[in-house]
Amino acid sequence: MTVRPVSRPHALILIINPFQPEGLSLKTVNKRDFVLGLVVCALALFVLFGILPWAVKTPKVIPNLALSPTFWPRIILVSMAGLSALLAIQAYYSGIKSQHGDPGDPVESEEQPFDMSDLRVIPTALLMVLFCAALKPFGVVLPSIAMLLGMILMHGRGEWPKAIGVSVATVLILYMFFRYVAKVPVPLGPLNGLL
Amino acid sequence: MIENLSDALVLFLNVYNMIALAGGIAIGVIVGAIPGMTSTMAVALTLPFTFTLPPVTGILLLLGVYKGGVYGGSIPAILVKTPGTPAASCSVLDGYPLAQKGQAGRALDIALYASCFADLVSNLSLILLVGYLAQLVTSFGPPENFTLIFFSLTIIASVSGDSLLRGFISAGAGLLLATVGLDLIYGTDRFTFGNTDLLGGLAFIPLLIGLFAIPEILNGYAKRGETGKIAADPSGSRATFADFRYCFRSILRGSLIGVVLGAIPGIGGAPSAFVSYSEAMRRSPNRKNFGKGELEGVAAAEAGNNGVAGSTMIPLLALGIPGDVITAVILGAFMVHGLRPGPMLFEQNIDLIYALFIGISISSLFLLIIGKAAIHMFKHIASIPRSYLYPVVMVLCVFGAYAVNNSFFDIYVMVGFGIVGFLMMRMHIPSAPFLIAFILGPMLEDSFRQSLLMSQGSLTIFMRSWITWVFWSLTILSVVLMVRRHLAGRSPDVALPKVQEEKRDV
Repeated sequence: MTVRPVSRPHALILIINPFQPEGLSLKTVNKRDFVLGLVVCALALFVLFGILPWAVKTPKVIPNLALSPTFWPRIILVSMAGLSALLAIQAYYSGIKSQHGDPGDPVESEEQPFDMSDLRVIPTALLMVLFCAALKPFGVVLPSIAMLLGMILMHGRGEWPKAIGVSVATVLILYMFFRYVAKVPVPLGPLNGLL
Repeated sequence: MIENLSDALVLFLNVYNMIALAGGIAIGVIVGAIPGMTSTMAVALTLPFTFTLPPVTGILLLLGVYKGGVYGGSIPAILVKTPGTPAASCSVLDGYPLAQKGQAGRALDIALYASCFADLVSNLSLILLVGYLAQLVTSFGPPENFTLIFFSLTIIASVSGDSLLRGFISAGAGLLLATVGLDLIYGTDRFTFGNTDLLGGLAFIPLLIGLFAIPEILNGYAKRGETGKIAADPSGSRATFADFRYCFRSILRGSLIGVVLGAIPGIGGAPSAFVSYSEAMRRSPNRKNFGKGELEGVAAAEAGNNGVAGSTMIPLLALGIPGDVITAVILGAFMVHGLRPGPMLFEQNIDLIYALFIGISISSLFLLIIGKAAIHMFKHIASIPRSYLYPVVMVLCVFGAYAVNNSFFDIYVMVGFGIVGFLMMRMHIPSAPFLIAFILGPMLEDSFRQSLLMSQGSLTIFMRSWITWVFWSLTILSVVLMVRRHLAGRSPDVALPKVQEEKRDV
């Protein structure tokens, strides 16, 4: 297998998508399902054996196994591990078939799970995470105005004055509705006493 | 009878009752169209206003809010892929793809017609069958509920798109997350990790908004700047009578499903919508279009969802048992006015019951008129530039998620599941099975464990009555059909419907 030099953005994509687009001969859908199957199977087994025993408290005396608080989660986790292993096996074998020219299972698409355009999501997702972090110190109103403004400008078509106007007006209208009509005590943070 | 009816007409025919009913529906539609503001919340907020009103006026106001709220949830589900209420989540599956094809007006129209028709059928069923259905409903215990919900879970196969395995894995994740919180039988913690916010489990609405709305917003940012069709352009598209006739079978079937499921305490609108959608898909010659913008899918989901609106009143009026939270609030309104629903109410206040029945019957017409006006008002949402629409929807989601429990934690859940939902979208993992399993999971587990408690561990309780046999038979039939269809779908010329268009051109 030859490894071509990759540009920096392309390298980022490879981190997100561990299969090199040119490097492996399994079809994309099978690669995706193979990885998905393995990851979910590993996660299910980890939760089943690593987390479940201490994250679900079980009473000492249980008249029937099926009544135990762990019974349902166990059934689900075992099923998930089995199904995801099956998905990985199915993806692996259908990939081999397609490699040998056997049409096998119809392959839905050749597209990659992630592409370059998905990198644009990262700043928006980060903005959402920052918004969550700002909620406790600043309440709902100020961070909402900031997030709304940021998202409008990030989309690339907003003009500053219009974007500011829309951000402030939208959040204030929503605040008034939820506070005075729906009677939801929306935290104001530093604006407490002003609104 | 005639005398009672004339007394009822005297009770009903006054301008305040009409205003209460119409106003209630208008409030319900508006509140239902706001993500996070459920019909339950709207009814609960309206309850204090009914204290000073006469009983019929007050109860009609609450019923109007309830019915309007059930329909209103479909508007944002179709326009911006954000169900206003949990029961409208099924309408997203075909409503939003239709809106993307520039047929938002058509989808909203058919949703309204299906809702009004189902509401009418439900109301008539309430009036005509209250006695019989109440008798049937009393024979539903935990084993019957378990088999019913187990059967409802077979719908996951219908909404799994092109890979059943991926659908089942998604459903498994939904079932697992539904176990988070206090165990109802022993009261022990499950997956709470000492966090008190998790004791009550993950809230449904933030999770719903996170899974459906935020991935779409993030997708909008991923695809920004690309040329292509503008989503949700409703200009000019309208549902015709031919459309209604085309969807009629699914609407009628969905209405009847809604009536039956609505009469069973604790089931509610969301499972009914999904069962109706699944049945429409199973029987439709165009099943491969389901999930890609099939009008019949919207009609079936809305009919199933609204079909419960009248029949949830059956156990309340006939037996005095509230079937869900909304009817519990309405029960409160009855009691505030010194009325106790149940058999005695029919003996002592039959004129009031008839007056309510008249009001309920008229409510379908009011819903049609007010719903039409609401469509005109809300359809402009689709013409807002994406650069403003996505951020505004995001902030609306934030307020909606916060309003559920007045908790920041719900906002974190919403954002977290939004990012997870985006990754699921990219990995072609359908989110609908996740959601269905998350809704039905607790009901399934509770009825399973309650049954075993009743039978002291014997599994034969799940075969105890003809009702359980009916649902087991339906489940087996459904699984056989599902496997046959899946095997047929693997041949290259027959493609299974793809529910989620994860990689869509915007």
